[in-house]
Amino acid sequence: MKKKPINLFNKYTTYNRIYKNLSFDYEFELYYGEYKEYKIKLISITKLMIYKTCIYFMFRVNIYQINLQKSYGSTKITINSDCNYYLNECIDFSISDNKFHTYNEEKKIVIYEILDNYCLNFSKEASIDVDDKFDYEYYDAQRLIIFATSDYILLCVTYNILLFYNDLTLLKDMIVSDKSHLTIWRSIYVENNIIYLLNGNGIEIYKLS
Amino acid sequence: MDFNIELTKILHKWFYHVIIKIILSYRALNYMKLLHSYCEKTGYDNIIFDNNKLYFNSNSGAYFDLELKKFLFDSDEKKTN
Repeated sequence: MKKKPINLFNKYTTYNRIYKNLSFDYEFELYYGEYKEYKIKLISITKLMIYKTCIYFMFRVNIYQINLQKSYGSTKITINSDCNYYLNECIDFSISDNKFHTYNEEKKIVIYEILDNYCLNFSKEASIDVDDKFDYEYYDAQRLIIFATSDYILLCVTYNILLFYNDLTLLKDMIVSDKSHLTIWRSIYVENNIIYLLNGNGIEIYKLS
Repeated sequence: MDFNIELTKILHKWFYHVIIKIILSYRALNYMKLLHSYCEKTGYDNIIFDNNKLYFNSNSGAYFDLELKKFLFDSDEKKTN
């Protein structure tokens, strides 16, 4: 299937599908200029977001930043050993309101402010040990997803959803769905207090009130 | 004058955050009303809402049309255009 070209910052072209700054492919290619020279090719990525002139992506068990204003190279935001395969489903990031939010390998939500030069400046953190908080069975696969809005932060932990105010005060711990039909959340998207949840059985849409 | 404008902006920002925090702390927010539920086994890992459609990461260009209430593919859209 031929994909439509998307122009980025009047300099770059990509054929990836991008909705609201989030790429929906496991590979990402970026071309530069009129003659479409190769700028970036990323493979086996699990998440990629474009924010201002930076690309943030997850590869294996780490999160990286590429500043397109620099000629080349990427900056590693997390510092996990590639041997920690189990972390693959336990780290995530989200960007909102000029802030970079991550749930990291130390079981912390960490918020960084994105500075004018695109460097990340540590802002605040909170320890959320989901293993202590929830009594999951050992065979329950874990999946952690973080989603930040300008007002609050949601952390999906396997079957549960934790809601934090943006200063990381825990507001609520919610279990969605009938417990007998629980399935692991794979993705979350929030807009105007409407929560769109994706799991292996389909889609659920909730209004938060 | 400039100082007053800056001060007003800072106060507005501060009050906005304080008021939002108070509102959020008083609102239950544990009440999640199920608006829709669509069952279909999927292997997708990402979801995003845009223009009344839910998009997923899939090579087939799958999306869910919230008006039609069914899963579609980019190729379906071309057929109907």
